[in-house]
Amino acid sequence: MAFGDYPAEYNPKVHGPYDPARYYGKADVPLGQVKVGEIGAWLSRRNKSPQAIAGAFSRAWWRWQHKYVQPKRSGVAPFFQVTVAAMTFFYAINYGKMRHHRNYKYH
Amino acid sequence: MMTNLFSVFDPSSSIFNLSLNWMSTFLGLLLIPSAYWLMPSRWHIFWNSILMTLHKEFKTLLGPSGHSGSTFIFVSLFSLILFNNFMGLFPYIFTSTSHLTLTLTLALPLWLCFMLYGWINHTQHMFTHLVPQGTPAVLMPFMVCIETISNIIRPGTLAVRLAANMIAGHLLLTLLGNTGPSLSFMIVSILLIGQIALLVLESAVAIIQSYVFAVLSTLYSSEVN
Repeated sequence: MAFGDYPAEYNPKVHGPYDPARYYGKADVPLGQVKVGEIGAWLSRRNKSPQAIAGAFSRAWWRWQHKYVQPKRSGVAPFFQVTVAAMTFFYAINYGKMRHHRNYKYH
Repeated sequence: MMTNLFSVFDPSSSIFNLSLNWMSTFLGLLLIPSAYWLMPSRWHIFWNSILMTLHKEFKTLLGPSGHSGSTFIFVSLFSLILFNNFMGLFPYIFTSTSHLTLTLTLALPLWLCFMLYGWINHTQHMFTHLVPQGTPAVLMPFMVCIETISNIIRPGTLAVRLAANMIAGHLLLTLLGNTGPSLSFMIVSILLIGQIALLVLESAVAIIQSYVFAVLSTLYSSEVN
């Protein structure tokens, strides 16, 4: 499976037009309905190859797009969501450098 | 781990000192709308109106002899620099255009390509361009010198203009902020109002500088043909 290919399980005759937000593999229990004790078994059933992880990120991206960016009357919310996510991300990766800033005598 | 005034501009993160902060350059990719439906959303209409305005402007600047389609590279350049400049104004987000590494990477290859193309393919035209129209004959040698020098420093000016504008804005805000802890409550409120005004100015500067970069690149490319 090369870059940009459809998932192997996608069949246009069965599934219709391709929806990038939809998972086309074998149906499993949704994460919200998995019991706490069964999480280990659930995780072991999932496909954890690099292509599958990339596919998961791609589906999550398209779900966010469909909900916040693609609707006709979208607002400014997606811009601020991306901004706040970026701010938290960069705060997290730079935290070690900033930790002692308040204690410095000379800045 | 640097603790000086310019720590805002340090691309190294705390994760093994890897320069992960450069990833802020790709933040614009998340914000540019992807076309999915036939009917455009508000973001699409907004973004496309900006791009079309720029496209028409650059097309006018390039003139009738400009290669059609060359506006795309300048419009993309504008959007890259715009997102980098503007997102850098938010707290903790790195401003990658404040580094000469990035701005020179944008300016130098562009200028070099224009020069190589112009001098190899339109040598006579490039020579005539060194003397502006209406120059008295006595001044022509000096004009050639001046125009040559101004041509050579172009990638430098493009890069340094953008980087210096970004650095100046952030530095000013950092400097004002560093005086905060030692001031009384009243003065701090005035300081905050001043900083908010500066932030508004900086957002304008961010947008204007990206526009200036793109327009100047367009003009430099139009001179070649």
